[in-house]
Amino acid sequence: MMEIAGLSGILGAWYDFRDLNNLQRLITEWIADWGPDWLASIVTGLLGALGILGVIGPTLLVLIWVERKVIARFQQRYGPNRVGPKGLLQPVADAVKLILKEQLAPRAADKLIFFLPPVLIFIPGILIWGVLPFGPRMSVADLNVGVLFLLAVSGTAVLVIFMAGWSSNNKYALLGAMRAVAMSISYEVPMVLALLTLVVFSGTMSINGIVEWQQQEDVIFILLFPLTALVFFFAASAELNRTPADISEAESEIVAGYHTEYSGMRFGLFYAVELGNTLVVSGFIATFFLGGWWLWGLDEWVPSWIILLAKTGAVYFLLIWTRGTLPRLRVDQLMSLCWKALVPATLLFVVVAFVERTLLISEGWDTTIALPIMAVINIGLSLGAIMLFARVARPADLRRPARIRMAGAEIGGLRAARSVAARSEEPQFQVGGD
Amino acid sequence: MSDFGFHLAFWSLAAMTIGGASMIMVSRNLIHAVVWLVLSMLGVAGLYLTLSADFIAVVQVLIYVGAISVLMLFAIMLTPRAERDNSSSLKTAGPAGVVVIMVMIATFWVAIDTDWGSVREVALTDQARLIGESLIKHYILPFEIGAVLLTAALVGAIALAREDDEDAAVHAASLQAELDGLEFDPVDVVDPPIPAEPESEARS
Amino acid sequence: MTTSDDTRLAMQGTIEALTSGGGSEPVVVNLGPQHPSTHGVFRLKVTLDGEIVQDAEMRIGYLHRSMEKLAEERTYTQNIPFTDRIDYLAAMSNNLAYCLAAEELLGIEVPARAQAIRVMFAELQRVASHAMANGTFINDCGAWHTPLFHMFRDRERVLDMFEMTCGARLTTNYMRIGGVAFDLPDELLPTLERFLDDMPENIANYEALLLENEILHARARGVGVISPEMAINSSLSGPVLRATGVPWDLRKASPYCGYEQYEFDVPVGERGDCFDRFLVRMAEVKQSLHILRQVVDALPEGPYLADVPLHARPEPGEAYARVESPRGELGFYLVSDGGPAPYRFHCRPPSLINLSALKEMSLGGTLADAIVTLGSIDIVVGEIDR
Repeated sequence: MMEIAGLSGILGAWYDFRDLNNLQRLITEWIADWGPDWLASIVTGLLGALGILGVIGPTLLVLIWVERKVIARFQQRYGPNRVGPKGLLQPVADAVKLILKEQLAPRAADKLIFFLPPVLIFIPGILIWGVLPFGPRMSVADLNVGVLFLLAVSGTAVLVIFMAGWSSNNKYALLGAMRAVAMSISYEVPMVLALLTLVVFSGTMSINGIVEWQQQEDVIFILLFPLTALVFFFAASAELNRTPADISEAESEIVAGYHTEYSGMRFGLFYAVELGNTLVVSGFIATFFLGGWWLWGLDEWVPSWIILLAKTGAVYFLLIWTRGTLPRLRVDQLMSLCWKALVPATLLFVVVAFVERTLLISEGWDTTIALPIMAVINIGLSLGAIMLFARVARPADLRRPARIRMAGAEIGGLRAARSVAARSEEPQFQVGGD
Repeated sequence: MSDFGFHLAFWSLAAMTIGGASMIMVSRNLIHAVVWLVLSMLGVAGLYLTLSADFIAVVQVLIYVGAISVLMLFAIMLTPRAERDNSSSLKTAGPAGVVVIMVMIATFWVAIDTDWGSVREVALTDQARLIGESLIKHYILPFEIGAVLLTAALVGAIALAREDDEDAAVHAASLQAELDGLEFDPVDVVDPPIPAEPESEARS
Repeated sequence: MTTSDDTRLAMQGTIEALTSGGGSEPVVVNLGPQHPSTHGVFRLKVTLDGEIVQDAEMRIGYLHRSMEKLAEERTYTQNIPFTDRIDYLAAMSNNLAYCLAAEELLGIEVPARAQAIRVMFAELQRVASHAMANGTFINDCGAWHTPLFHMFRDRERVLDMFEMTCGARLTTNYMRIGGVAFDLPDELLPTLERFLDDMPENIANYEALLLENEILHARARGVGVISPEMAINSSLSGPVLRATGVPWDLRKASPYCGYEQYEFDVPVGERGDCFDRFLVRMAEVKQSLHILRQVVDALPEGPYLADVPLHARPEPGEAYARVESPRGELGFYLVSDGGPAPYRFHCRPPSLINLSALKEMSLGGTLADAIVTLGSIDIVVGEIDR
């Protein structure tokens, strides 16, 4: 827990904004004075949920603006700048437009199942926020099995996506849903393994426990398990359907994937949840691999939730960056990447984590010396694994460079083509290859 | 948690579980049935939570809702349409009823036979550790047998999935025989069957 | 026992699928006429087994405007605006090809300055068109518009120069029978100089962003391959043909507008896949800039338009002229019966003929590959349907 020297006067008071939990505790205690127990529990839960909803809603609106602005900067554009100051009200205008739009349903759609997904998708989208620790005592539910809860809840969203794609009775939607499900099933495996590495190494399944472990040992997990962090980042962006893994709503192939047939606010809900999920996953990446609300003692002076939000923003920017620059992988390439590269790599580090953890405990090594050494070993292993993959698993097509030759004086048909190709001198222009 | 909250949770979850389960039987469309099944499973997960078994509850959601049901949907999607939806025939109802009645008798037997007074009330503690320890220490043999069984199932699934042309021909022949044996409404005879053009099958 | 019609049909479908091998039912997916990657109103009907393309059927004609028939009712000069609208991404090249055919029919000599201006605008058009083609190709590979917007910036500068010269950006209607409509404005050459100075850096930026991108390699290498033999047999032309290694460029093979005076090279690919097409276009942009530099350095003085009667009546006869448009061999065939309007007006659109190889290129690949291949062919539906 947080050790704070000085400042004890305001510690734990309701206006101690470093820990918003104080405010809630005050209310709970006040209710407990006169009311029954269950009322206090219900009010606590409601307060947490309201707090989260109150934070997410406005944040999402701002985030849409941020993402569009940042992407616009990547693309040499201005981005939204018409509605409101600096275009800040553009998302509001879009939301109003979406609400006012007619909601169409295809005649051949399965009406009940078509209607449910936009509503149901919100449930995992909101629940997942519940276990994100904003501070030492600042998560709505600090579960002992928080990591598992995270995986379980994020897994259920696939079902909803499947319902949406199937009920639309549209081939693009169905293809998108099938792709989403196949991807989700595959990419859950490296995600679980990546989290298992952390769980094995820190010895706890509580998310806050993992952060506290990082605080206690004065190290962040990305240094200890860089490849695992990379895999988790990629797998998460695949689960979020973001480029380079946005095959389930690949615009150039299947229009909008599973939500092709949704119009108006029904589409808006999908969009909002997708954005919210991106934010919360950035938060979890920050929590698991970047130390969460903790930052080498800075958390004593700056409110922990601001530290977490700053880290989340950094990860979110990284997600926007990859989205803005990379093309999309093909379905089979994504699958083979997952099963042939990400799963073995994470599995390797599960074993490594297990061995190192056992050594730490059984030999009783000093963690301040042992951990940096292990970090160096693991970074070396990660680089080795990446290089090995690049050597072994790279498709044969890509191992030869692509060449452009200049025809020179030879113009004509096949004979000219052969003589240009047979020229012994170096090609003029060469790209790729080993 | 006080009695009121507990009862509220228990009864609403029980209603969700039983209601979902009944809707599975009623719904004709297999996809609908799976959706109801998911609701029922979520209810069971909730019931686990009221029993302070948070680990089991989360695993229930993770495995049954997140994985098994999705696999079921996949299986349904990959099955040709004719074999997909619940049929109206009662041919299999008899044996199924017998099985269900036997399972219910067994459940009631256990419920009545157990000395509930001896079951301690458990606090919401680190269940995962306890389960892990007992799996590795006391029940290591069943655990390993389970793992081997799952591997065997995996290999078997792959073997089954690689259906060769011969099997397909046999399957087609059996379907054709079944199709020939079916009686049709008189309307159908007047209206010759349109070849099933894949494009007209929007939901395949 | 009775059963519904629906069930029976489904069972028959299953039997068909089982006996045809594969064990699963193929899905027919319509890409277009309204689809983000058909680049216009073009419809591609693909039969998929899972994600594998078993059959691809192209349906064209959604943008048919009957231009060839309409042209028979208008004078030779009045037909020039039609050619803008045939390939609206390379209006200058289309103007040029048509004017060359009409000049051949009328037996007109074009002044040297007009020739140089024509080369200048044809090459600028190639730069603009290739920017569009490569940008949308990367988009079809799934990039989120970033390379497209960067390349659009260059195209925008070219279009500004068009506007400066003839007042229009897209449908320029600039070439005339016997020369060009207007002389170059004073501010054009400095603008062009600046453009030529900036472009090498921009191209270096695109190459840094795209050429070593592993995902792009994975998506485009070995995808949509066509052999040089097949490409020649299908009568392909332009970057699609040159990507297979066949060094065929009309500017070299049968020079027009004095292309023989300029020094440039013809880049050819090696394997004929989508990535080679992309690389060939990138290399061609550099060659075009090289030509432009030479044109600017040696721009002859003199008249920009020959003396041609407005209602020219050519002798009865026929003429065919072809140019290397950004998409390939663009030809115009004119037949005169001695009247003021052509008796027959025919266009050989490179997009249509290049598109005919799409099925060959995409069979056996995935749906995503077919989209990438379609993007790499660089079709313009206005040219396909006319």
